[in-house]
Amino acid sequence: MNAPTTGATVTTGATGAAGAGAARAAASPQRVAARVCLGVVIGTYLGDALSAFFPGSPAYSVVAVGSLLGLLLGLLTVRRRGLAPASLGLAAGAGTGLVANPVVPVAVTRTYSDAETFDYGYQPVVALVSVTVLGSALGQLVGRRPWFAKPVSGLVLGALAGHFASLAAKTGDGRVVADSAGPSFDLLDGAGHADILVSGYGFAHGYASAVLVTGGAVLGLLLGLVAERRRGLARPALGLALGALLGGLGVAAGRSMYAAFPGPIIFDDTGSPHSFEKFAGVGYLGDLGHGLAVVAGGAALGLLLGLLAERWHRLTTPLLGVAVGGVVGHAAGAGLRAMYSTSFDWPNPLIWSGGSEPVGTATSLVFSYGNGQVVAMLVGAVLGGVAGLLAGRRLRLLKPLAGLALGISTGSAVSAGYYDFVLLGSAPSYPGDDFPGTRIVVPALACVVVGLGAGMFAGWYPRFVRPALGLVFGALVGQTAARVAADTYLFAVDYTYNHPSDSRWAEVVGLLAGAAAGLVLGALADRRTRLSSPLLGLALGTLAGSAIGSDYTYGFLGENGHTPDAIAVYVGTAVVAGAVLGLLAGLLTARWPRQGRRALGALAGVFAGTSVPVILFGISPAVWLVLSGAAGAVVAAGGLGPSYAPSAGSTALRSSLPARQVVRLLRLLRPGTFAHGMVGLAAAIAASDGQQERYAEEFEATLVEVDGRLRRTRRLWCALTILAGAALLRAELAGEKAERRS
Amino acid sequence: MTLYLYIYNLTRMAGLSRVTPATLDVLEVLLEGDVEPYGLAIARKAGLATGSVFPILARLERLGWASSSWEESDRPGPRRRLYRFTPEGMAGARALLAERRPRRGHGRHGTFTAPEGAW
Repeated sequence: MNAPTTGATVTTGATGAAGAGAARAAASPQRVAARVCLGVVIGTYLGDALSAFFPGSPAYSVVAVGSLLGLLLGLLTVRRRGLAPASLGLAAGAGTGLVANPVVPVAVTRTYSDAETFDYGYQPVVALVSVTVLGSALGQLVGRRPWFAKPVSGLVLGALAGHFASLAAKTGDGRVVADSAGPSFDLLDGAGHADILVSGYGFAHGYASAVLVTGGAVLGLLLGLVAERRRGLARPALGLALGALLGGLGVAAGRSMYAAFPGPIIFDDTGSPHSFEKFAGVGYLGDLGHGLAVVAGGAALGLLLGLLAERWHRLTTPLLGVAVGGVVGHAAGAGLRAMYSTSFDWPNPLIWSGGSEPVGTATSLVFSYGNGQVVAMLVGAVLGGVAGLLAGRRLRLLKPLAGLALGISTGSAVSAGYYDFVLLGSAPSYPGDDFPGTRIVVPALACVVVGLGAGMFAGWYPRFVRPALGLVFGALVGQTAARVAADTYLFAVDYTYNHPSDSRWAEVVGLLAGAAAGLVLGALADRRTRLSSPLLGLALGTLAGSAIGSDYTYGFLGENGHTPDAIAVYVGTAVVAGAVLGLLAGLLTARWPRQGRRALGALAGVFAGTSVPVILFGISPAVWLVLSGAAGAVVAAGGLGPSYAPSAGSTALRSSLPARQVVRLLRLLRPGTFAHGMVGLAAAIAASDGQQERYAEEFEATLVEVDGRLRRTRRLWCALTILAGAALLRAELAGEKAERRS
Repeated sequence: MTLYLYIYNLTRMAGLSRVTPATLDVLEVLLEGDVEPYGLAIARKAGLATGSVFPILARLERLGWASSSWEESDRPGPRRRLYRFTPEGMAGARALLAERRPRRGHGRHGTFTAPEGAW
């Protein structure tokens, strides 16, 4: 999500340096296309996120308006370069407004419940617009006077730290209120003001929060001003802000609980509660009382580490890695809570008002309640620190990260399989107190660790890479296919959720059989490398199809009244379609690696994208899937050349590594580059053998001949038409061959 | 009537039984010879999308109406492929255009003459 913004920052920096005086110079078509594309991407994202504020509104119209506004702003920044920083500040402000406040509940609403049952009022919109305008003004300021950059950064970081500190300062406990209108979080006891906890992360009323946020912002601004004049203070100030921010996050994580509520409750004959709807919320448990002390401690520690980093520069990267890892861990912990909570996850401290009986069981997963998010933060911080250390040694991180990702996927599959196994075994009632959440966490974490280790050592034992990949992908595909088949059977053929079902074994068998088959196929592919791409394509296609089916059908079709049996069939269809497409992409890759890898990359991107909790970004699954698929295609295409392989050197990191890498990768999306790729693909489609080279050269020559204004865009169009006519050309050439034979 | 039969026989024998307007446009451009006869220039002159010209040119080659060869030039970069009518193709194209597009000045009996040096 940050990619376009980061990439744009570089462009804007150049623009700002050029100054307003050079604004009248004619922009190159490449720049026009880049800005327009960036504007459309940001506008689409913001439109999509904003549309969620108005439950029941025509979401796609709002998205379209956002795209159009982004397009217009992108064009405007071409004509008037001075507008570029303001526009980017506007987008950044809107993004901050979304992330800082209402995005989580909005996403929760969209994901879990009937949107029409919620009404947040206009407060989030007012906050969003205010922050957006502020961001725009600050962007304009920084664009004109670059020395404002540090003060503005300090302002933003300080405000964020104050925001999270305000969460830590909350007091009281949470309860569940049940009435005929549906349950909700109760107010915080003793808080004395109406915190609407269901609305998510600390949308706090009252002056305390405002004071903390404003105080943090002012302090950040002052520190930024000082750091601008005395460069030696930049790192300590940054450390202070990050320490306070992480302290606030940690306290919030330690005290927050995540619960998924059922809708209107109906009690059956046995007295068990049942509900057909559910929604989710975040509340704060326990009166910590020392929240602000933790924040202050974090700030002091951050300041100390910043001073150390100023003295020993080598520490900078690992410490930044720790901070970033902590924030990512916090977000991942929240996402895991959201993903794994069910309507039965009632933490013990949540009680019905007027009663003393706990509803449901304690916790099914460690992430649902308790210290899970804190653990996730710590794990993230450690991993971030390790990544920072590795980056300092200029080690390539691609393989370890890939191993880690596969380990996480496998762990997730094992968890899901075990969860379903237990759940189906005790249907229709919940497993009860004996549901062993920790039994899931242990093998899942083992998978993650093994994945990370395997990725790091993959370079030493290349012979085992393909069998290992086969094992992992086989297990994933087997479990996924078995789950979809079992769901389809249970929903569409024989509904047996009302009693324990033997179909609970499906995922276990699928996972083990898939792993065994994958191991064999991986070993086979190691000897016959031509098999690798089709097998990988098949696996990625199946997983991507399942991901799309699950995310889209349950999220969208479910809300639109489609029955579970129909949805199960849709998901099954998506899996089969994904498998077929993946196989085709794999075959394409085996024949034409350059073109096919993009298709495989897109599938891998879709699969990886669904692993990221979309809930954190407040974006609809469909848009997210498209973005992640495109990113996967770009990364896969970039992997062809050594210069584009993702690496993390300390020097690059210091000079804004993400921006550079992202810009490099985005360059592959330039119209010109894509156009050449497309005509190569067209030649491969149209002809084979010697004729392929002839047409490749002829098409290339055709593209080169396209010149003049907007040539890159026109080349792209030219390449598109050539690609569109490739199949017809092949038919003609096939006719020629047949005539020769006869 | 003789002309109809001639065109019918010509197109049937040559396999050009289905003549689309785009094919006629390409034939027209190749006959006029105002531009260098490579894919992009032909497409521009004919007002067609670039991608739709290559199948037509391949078809003309397959039927023996046109032949192609790489340009001989010291220009850097990829070479252009130039398309020229064969004698049979030129006669067929003239006749076909005269029949299908008589108002565009191609004459009815193959009186069109390509500019000198065009081929």
